[in-house]
Amino acid sequence: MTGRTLTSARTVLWHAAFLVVSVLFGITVRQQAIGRGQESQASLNQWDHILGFLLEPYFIAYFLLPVWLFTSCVAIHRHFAIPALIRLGSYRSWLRSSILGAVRRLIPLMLIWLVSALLTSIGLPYEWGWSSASTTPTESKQILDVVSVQGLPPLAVLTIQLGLFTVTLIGCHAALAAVHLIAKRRYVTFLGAALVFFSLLYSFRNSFGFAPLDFANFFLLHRAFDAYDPIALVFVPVLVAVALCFAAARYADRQGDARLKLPVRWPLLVYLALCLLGILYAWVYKLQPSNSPTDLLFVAFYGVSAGGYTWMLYLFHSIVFLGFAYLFQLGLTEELDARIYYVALRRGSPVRWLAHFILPVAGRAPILLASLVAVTSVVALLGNLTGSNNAITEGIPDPGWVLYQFFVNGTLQLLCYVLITFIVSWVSGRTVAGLFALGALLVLSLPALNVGQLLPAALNSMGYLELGASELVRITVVLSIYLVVLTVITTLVVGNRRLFFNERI
Amino acid sequence: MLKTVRKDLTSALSWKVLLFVAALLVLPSLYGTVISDGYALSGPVDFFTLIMGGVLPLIFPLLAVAVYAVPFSNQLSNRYLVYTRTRIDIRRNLAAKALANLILAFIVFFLVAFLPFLWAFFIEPSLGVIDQYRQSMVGPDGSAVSPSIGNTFSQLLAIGPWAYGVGYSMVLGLNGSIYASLGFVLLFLISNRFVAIAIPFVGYNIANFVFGVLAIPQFSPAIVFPFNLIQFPMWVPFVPFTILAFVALALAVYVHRNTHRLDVLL
Amino acid sequence: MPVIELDRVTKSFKGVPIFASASATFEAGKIHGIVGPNGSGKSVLFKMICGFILPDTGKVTIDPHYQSPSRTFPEQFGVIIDRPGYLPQKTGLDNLRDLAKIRGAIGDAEIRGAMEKVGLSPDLKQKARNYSLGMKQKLALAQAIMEDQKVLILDEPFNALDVDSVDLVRNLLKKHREQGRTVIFTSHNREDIDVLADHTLRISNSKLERIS
Repeated sequence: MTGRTLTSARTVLWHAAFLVVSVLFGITVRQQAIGRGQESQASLNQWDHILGFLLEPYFIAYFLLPVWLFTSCVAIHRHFAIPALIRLGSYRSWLRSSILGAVRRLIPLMLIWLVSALLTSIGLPYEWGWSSASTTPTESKQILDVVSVQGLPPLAVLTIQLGLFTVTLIGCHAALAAVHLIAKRRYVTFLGAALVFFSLLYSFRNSFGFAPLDFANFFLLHRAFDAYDPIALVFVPVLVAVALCFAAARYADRQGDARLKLPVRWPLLVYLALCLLGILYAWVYKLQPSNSPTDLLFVAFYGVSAGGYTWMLYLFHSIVFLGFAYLFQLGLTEELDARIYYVALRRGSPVRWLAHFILPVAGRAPILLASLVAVTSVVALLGNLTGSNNAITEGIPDPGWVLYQFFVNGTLQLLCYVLITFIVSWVSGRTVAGLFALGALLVLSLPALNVGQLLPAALNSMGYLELGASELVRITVVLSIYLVVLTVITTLVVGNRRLFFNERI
Repeated sequence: MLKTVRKDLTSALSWKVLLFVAALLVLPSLYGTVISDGYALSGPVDFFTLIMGGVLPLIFPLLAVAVYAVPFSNQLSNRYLVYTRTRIDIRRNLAAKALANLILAFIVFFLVAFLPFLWAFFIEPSLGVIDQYRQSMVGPDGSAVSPSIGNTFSQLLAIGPWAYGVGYSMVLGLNGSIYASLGFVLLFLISNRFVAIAIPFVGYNIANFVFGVLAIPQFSPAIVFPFNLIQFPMWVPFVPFTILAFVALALAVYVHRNTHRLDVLL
Repeated sequence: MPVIELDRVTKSFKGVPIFASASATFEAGKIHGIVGPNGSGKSVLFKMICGFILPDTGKVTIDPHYQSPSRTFPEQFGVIIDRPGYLPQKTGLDNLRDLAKIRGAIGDAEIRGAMEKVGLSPDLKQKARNYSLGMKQKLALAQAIMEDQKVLILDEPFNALDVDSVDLVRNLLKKHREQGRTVIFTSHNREDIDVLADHTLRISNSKLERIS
């Protein structure tokens, strides 16, 4: 059997499998449509089933989309070969060719899906217009209730849904192809596909305020009708995305074979993304428009309080502040494991090495805090949080203390974390020990263990604001004492050559 | 092979590890007993929840890798394992060590849950250490509710306390062995030991946060400690477990197939 | 004055003696070879010379020309100690640039020259993590010579090098000596010692014995 024959056989089998799954699912959808019709005691026609199937979120989210994303990734990797690139001449041409290939792959799938819907509608009355079941309002906002009241005939709705879905899937493929052009790494493309998949899953369950980022709008027409008026606007973000993909291809043409160089290393990228995510979480889930930017800062970095803690807020606080110490540990690991002798020799003395290594980190602490405040302010602005400063922070000292706790105690706390993990790593001779120090600090942050706020763990939590201004100043004193003691210990252990890293057996 | 596993298990139990495990087994119950005064506990289930729901969920993967993977990492950095290649087939050796790691972590974390279960359900009630419990567990509307609808896994209480104790302990043991295995396998794939050991712990906390943001905490890794969530069907915690098990297995297979070219073994 | 002098140096770890009242002098402008079985303390010796660890008793004296009072570690010493040290995510050139930035005494030209001297291409796009053992060794050598260091302390510099590279490095060290510089190196290959060393010391029974 030739390669071509094998490929054709494989394609036929694959389409056959797709048809079988679609038909089986179509039968389930039909049962549901009939059930709904009986419930509302209204008559059905074929559009109740066909449109119900083509707008069925579970089929799209758990079958169609993952299959499409996976096959796109495979097709992209296969197509991204030197012979193809040479013939096409540029990455833009390659992208065009890849998209055309995707269209050729997609058309049979769409046809099979449509045919399955038609096949499984056999037996239902055939009419041109909407059935009375689809136009009968129901308590829960069913899909057909939305699409049937837009003033469009069912055939037009079908065409728009198929068109939107097709354009969106092609857009997904173009995005993955562009990602592959830039990163030139397989796993990055698959990661991108996973991100799209999970974003859509999330979007199906939770509507997002900002329409272009609400992915479900581009897969389900009833969601699109709610988000865009006129409906033609729903195509705009997708086309913009495709245009951006071509811009990325143009960039890739200029870069040549070189892979995209991220301006920052990926652990830092992940860290920054998590910081942003936490701030967004605080905004979306905890605040109202009557709240202020200071309220957002207070809530996002609430951490723990003397009375207890909320899991998510505590976790985010730990990720931000212990995460900083973790990134420091990463740098320390590299330095100590890889080249401590060469660097220390050039610096001339252990203490000089220490100063050159630690002081820039210390300088980054206030920069991080300032950046977090800046991002929080931007999010608050975009989220229209323009209320008074006292909406959430009633009962606590003047909101100026929010900034005091964040900047002053925040900087001191960060520095304490850094020095604690450093000392543990240095004295033990193992940077892995620093990781356990981080774990210990995570545990000691709990209010039940940090009774009286005497341990240098999460003392910069906004939750401690409720204790009053004098308590915040006391925390500053506590952290300052710890910082002084830790600085002295650090200098002593590093300066003592009997404790020089790794020299204890 | 079993002989090698037994040898590895014995040699893994240094005094440091034994001390660590002893602390792990005793401290949660001690801590829970000491702070129990501040809580209105309605019975042994509540007390067990208090013991298990405190510190353990925060640093669970870190504890799991500390049992075997961390001490083992010294063998890698000192190139001890490289020198054993002339004496024993490296794949056999690694498989034995992986199995030893799995077994040790399972046993330890089984006991981490089982001993507090014994303490909360049987030993403490007979000693009467903590104050008298409230008469019964109450729901949001103030009416009495059965403990078996408390949280995930407490469905097993309907069968009996032993089913709950042994069942939950097995789940925790399995999860512990998965994190321990992840840490172990990553030591071969990531040259930076710190990063290899850190990934299970850091990934666990990041995943918990992200799943919480996505409002699906029942699928986060911390569901193995389900004490602060409403009750979910018992298959739910096995979703993250299955994914982690699959990842650990895939990585282990990769290591097994590539022993001839992994830098750390050359 | 010798470049380095050890005077009745004693060092032990966990009760196990590594050096017991060991004395030796290393003269300037010579190549000194050190031999000894594995675990005899060659790395420990070098770390004591560089000041990374202190002897339990006795003294290590460095020529004041190389040891100013404000420094703990000697100046103008190029070292290879333990395994080659590098940042895995950077190229060889970037690794050396990073180190050169510390003292700021040299630029790209000198770095590239050093790499070429040891047989490493400065334009390699490969990250150091993907280097072979021999390349990593050459990178370590390059960092030891790039700042025109006058004294080289090299622990097993010929490790993992192919025959041509060994010749290259031998000639490099000979040239170093011709320029009046000092080299102290260890090797488990007796031939390297015989070919290069003006003086040979052996670590034996916790002592340093001069054998030639």
